[in-house]
Amino acid sequence: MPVVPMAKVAVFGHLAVKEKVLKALQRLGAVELIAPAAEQPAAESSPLELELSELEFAIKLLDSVGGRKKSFIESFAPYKEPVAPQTLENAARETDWRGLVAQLKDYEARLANLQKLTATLRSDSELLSPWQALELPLDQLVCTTYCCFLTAVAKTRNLSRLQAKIAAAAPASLLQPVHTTKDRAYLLIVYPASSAAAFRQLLRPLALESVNLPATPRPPKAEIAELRRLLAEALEDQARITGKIRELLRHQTSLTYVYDHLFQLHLAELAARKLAQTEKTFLLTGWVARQTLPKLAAELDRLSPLTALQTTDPTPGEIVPTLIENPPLFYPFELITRIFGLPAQHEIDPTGPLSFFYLFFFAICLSDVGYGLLLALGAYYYLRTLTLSEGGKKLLLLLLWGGVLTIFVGIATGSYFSIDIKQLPPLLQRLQIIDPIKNPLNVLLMSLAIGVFQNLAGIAISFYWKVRNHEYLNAFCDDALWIFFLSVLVGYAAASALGAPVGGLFARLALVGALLLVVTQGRNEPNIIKKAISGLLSLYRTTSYLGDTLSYSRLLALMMTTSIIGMVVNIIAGLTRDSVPVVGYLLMVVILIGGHLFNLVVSVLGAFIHAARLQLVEFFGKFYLGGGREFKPFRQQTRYVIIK
Amino acid sequence: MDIGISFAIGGAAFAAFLAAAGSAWGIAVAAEAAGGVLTEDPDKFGRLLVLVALPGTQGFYGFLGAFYIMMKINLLGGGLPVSLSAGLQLFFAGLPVGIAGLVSGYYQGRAAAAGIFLIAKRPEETGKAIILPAMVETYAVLGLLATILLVSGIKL
Repeated sequence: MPVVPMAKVAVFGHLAVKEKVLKALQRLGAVELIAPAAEQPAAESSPLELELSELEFAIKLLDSVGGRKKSFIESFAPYKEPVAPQTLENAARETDWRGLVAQLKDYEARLANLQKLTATLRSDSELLSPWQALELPLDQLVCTTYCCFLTAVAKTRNLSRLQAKIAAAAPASLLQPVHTTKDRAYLLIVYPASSAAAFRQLLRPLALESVNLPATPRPPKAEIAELRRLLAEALEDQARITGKIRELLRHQTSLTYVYDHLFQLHLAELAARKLAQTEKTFLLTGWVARQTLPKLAAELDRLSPLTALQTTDPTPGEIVPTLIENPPLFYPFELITRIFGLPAQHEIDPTGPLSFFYLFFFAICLSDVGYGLLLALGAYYYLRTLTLSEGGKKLLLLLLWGGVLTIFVGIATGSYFSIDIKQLPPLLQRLQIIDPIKNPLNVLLMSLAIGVFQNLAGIAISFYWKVRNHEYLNAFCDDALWIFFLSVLVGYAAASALGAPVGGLFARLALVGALLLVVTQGRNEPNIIKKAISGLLSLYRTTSYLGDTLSYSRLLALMMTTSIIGMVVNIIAGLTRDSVPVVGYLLMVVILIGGHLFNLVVSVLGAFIHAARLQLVEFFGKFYLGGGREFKPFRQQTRYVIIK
Repeated sequence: MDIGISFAIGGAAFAAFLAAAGSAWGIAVAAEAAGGVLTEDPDKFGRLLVLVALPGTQGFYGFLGAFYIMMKINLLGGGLPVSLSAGLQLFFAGLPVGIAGLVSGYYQGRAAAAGIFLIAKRPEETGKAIILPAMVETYAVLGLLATILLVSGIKL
């Protein structure tokens, strides 16, 4: 039984053993806790949460100065070091992690300040750089008794016009270009203090942009030198502090240990909030798989005599969480089921049935001996060498099986790295059953036939499940009749295509099937007219079955994509060998390896997705709703390591 | 005779470039979304790359359609004589994959971008995020199939 039956349990105990019980449950990871229905006071944030976020910050800061580097593969399947729980606890006790975090926080604050400082210094010296020719200390550029100074920028092409205008309107003023580039002119303007307001009025319509320079006691050139000196100092400080952070890198591993240790405590703390408690006792309720019930009872017995375990009935309407468990052969395909959603407690687990189809479709889409071999070997290698999460392991196992089956399909289609079959040994030529490039129509028909078969299999599963749940009428009307009707239609189509004499018989049978469907499909409607209408309309579902079947034509398309792109790689490689002198052979090898690897990755992605889609949309549509809620037991969860 | 082969090549060219343009467009849409998510969380690069690559298949389908037409007229091996009407037929046969690829490439890119945002918030749902844009791709596959079947049915 792949959907594991669940039991609802209640555990009572004395408050004295509460921590111990929680710790044991966490280690066991077998119970999903149910929060009591009564209103809980809003949870305060615990000090642990703050500490965890500080640790995370410290670990990330160390990462940024060259901590753990992640390879490309790791970004899919992060590596986690297996560590004993005692090591984690020791790290938390023995490392002065609070000190480390405080120190790192201090460094980070100083770095942030320095960053701000360097940004200001840079922008200041940029502002001053066009004014270097000005030899006056900048704090003297203010209005004195007799004259005022103004620094401004104008367009270079307007310069002579500006000069003329100002000279005409205020003869006592002076306009001096300090620095001119191709399009901007930096100007120092001196005008009499007595007519300051009038002069500003005069400037307004002119295209001038006044510039506020910092009032420093030095001329711009000296000021820039000073700024540069400060900047160099700041950068030096920055490098020094980064260096100090880097010195702390050796503590990073310990910090990750501490993090994961505190994380366990935090999880236990969260779990404790779901407990009901009196002055002396606590009560926890939760879900547990029936099969692990004895183990749980034994563990509690061993722990303390002050606890008691009781199985209770679920309250009506309560949603029982789902745990699926499959034999090793089907286990990787839970991945595909999970994409859709887990079965509800009363549903069938589709993992077993879909696994055959999925593998087969995957292999058809890839259909090359070479690619299958590479994929299987690659998956096997990573399975052996990487420490993987559950999902990663399933994915690699699935690719491993897929690769192996692809080898067989590849033999049948005569595809070996898309090499022309005529150049291969006669034995392999004889093993070829069909050439998809030469006979796309046959492969298309085969794909559609597979589609018909899987559609019927889907309805058959629905039939089986309804019979098992004693819904005989529904099983007969909704599933058996449709299987009959659809098979007869397919038979009729095949007979007329082949010109077989049984076509007439099939046509009559189809008519019978259609009549039966019209009579039965409206059976849940309240009156005879509605019954008739919805019975008739039900025949329309035939088109949806037709659409579902056509969807399997993608098998042909993906098969051809793989082999034709491989073929193109071979052709291009051959052309380079023939047309490039000397290094032609080398180039050919590079193109062959790069091209086929690329094709492998793209084709595996396509095969994975499209094989999955056919299960999720076409196959599941016949019998599966996937309304289950995942069973999430209270357990050890980690971020950086795996607890042994 | 020449005009026939020109039309055939036109068909191959349209199949390849329309579908490739669709892919480029779709990938750009998805990559923009991924770039945004990566500013927050660079560790998601691997997962997002898969989604960004999804609208890339249309380009391959178009190329495949083009290659199928090229094989039909044996273009790389010197070229077979193609009548004007066969050339026109090949031209039209190239359009399904080209146009379906162009449109579905763009829209698959948008669906992939939505999947990317899904992963940004719920990385554990990567599987679902990958399947949704694949729904769009179905119609590029149908376009390719139409082209292949049309081409294989044409008599030169």
